[in-house]
Amino acid sequence: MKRIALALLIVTILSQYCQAAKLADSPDGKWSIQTATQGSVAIFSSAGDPVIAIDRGTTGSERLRAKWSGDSKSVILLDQAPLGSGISGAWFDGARWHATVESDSDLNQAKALAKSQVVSGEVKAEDRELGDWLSRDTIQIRGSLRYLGGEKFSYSYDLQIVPGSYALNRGGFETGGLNASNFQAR
Amino acid sequence: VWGKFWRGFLSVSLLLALAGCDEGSPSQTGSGAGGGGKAPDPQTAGQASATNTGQALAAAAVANIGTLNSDIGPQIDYANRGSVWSVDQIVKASTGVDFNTLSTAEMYNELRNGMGIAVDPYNPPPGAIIISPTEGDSTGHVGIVGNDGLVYSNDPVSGTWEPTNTLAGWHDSFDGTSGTYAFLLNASSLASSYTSGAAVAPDSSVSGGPVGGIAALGDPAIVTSSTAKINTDGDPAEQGYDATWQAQTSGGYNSALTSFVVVTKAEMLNYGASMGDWALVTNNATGQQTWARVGDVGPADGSGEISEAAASTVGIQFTKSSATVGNPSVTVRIYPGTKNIRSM
Repeated sequence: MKRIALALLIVTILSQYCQAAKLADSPDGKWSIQTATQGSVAIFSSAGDPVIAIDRGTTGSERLRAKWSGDSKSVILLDQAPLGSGISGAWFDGARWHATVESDSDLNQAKALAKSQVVSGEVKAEDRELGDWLSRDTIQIRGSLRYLGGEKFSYSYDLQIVPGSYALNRGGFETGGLNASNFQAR
Repeated sequence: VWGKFWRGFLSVSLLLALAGCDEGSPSQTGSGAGGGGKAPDPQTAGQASATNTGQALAAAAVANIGTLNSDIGPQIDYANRGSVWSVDQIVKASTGVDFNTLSTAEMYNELRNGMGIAVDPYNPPPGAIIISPTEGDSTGHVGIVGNDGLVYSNDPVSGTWEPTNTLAGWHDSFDGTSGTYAFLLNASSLASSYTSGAAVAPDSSVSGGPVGGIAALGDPAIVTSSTAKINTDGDPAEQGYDATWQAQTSGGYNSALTSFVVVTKAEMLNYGASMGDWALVTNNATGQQTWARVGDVGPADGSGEISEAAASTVGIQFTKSSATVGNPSVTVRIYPGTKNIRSM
């Protein structure tokens, strides 16, 4: 029994260090989100080939979450670091994938909402979670802001993928394609 | 029987555990089935160094999208011979190595004669230089493999640096008569390229600013002017005072000791910024400046957030809770893709 316990202990310890490379398969099984090389996350085809990167900045990240839409044509990725988060999204136009990153300015709407409820000041940290897909192209995001004075404000909003072809930015992502709305306190 | 069972169980357990190994360290889950990756192959120290250099080149390949242009004039035939020039510019900025040629054939010879470590051209790692030398009427081309598996190179018509091919597309287009080869830069050749003999390992210090001064950094891709905020992470003396204090920054710095600035995840992705990139902090009221590194990831509202050391250097005071005294503002300029430029 001691040997079995030892083996289980070894497996448990190794498992802590060895995370699965695949984050989520699309419902139709044609695609998957996988960690690729050195801080990169990409959409892979079922043949195992990366087709587009949707995150290249996982240095310092502590949590990665991905959710596919029901029709397998859209996916949202959350990359959470200890003090801040980033959300990227991708959509398939029938021929190829497009990837984009949610603008930092969306947080201003959450801050404005907080201020209307008398919570204001310097935001020291924020975290977000992926909620449910509300429709084929819209997912709910839940988040919280933590302020210098110790206050916390929790909110939610809807994030819609707006398919199209947008200009590529310096990082290789398209600029546009995500629309945040319906900010609410929770 | 018990002994056989034990050995078998342990072997299977280890295999199962290792089958799930990958390079990623963050917690990874999603709506869908999980999967495994391959256990890493053993590497020599030289290969590991080459891989590290490859990572830097892969990041630099992305950081230069749309900004590097080889259409600089007749010396490279208005971009027609720009692929070697473009790769050389990126390699020089990232590692200090200069191929000093505009010829794919000469660059190929340099790579295979010691400057490179040959890797599989059909499955090259990120940062590998993929090259199809010119031979006869078959025009060659050279590019850099990105983290996303795409090949980045100059567009021979416009001269713009951009993702130009998938690997399969590259082989279809350029294999020609001379074939396609891939190399990681040889770490030992990098070390010998520095006349000072300095180590090639990334230099995270700030001290006197980047070697080559501000001209070596190019234009800042990110410029923000906003109220100054203080990040105290990594400074043990701040534990218990700053409500969101972290024992470590993403870049591994101590706020009290190193001048650094904070970036958002979106800035990292949209501009190719990464930990260790150079930044310049200016106190808007006094004009005082300090060089800094990108050192932590902050909230999307994080513009203007700097370390204690940076704040002190530009004359900004703050309390133990990390609140600034008065209402100081700073301009932060960030230079993506410059983390491998050493400090003076």
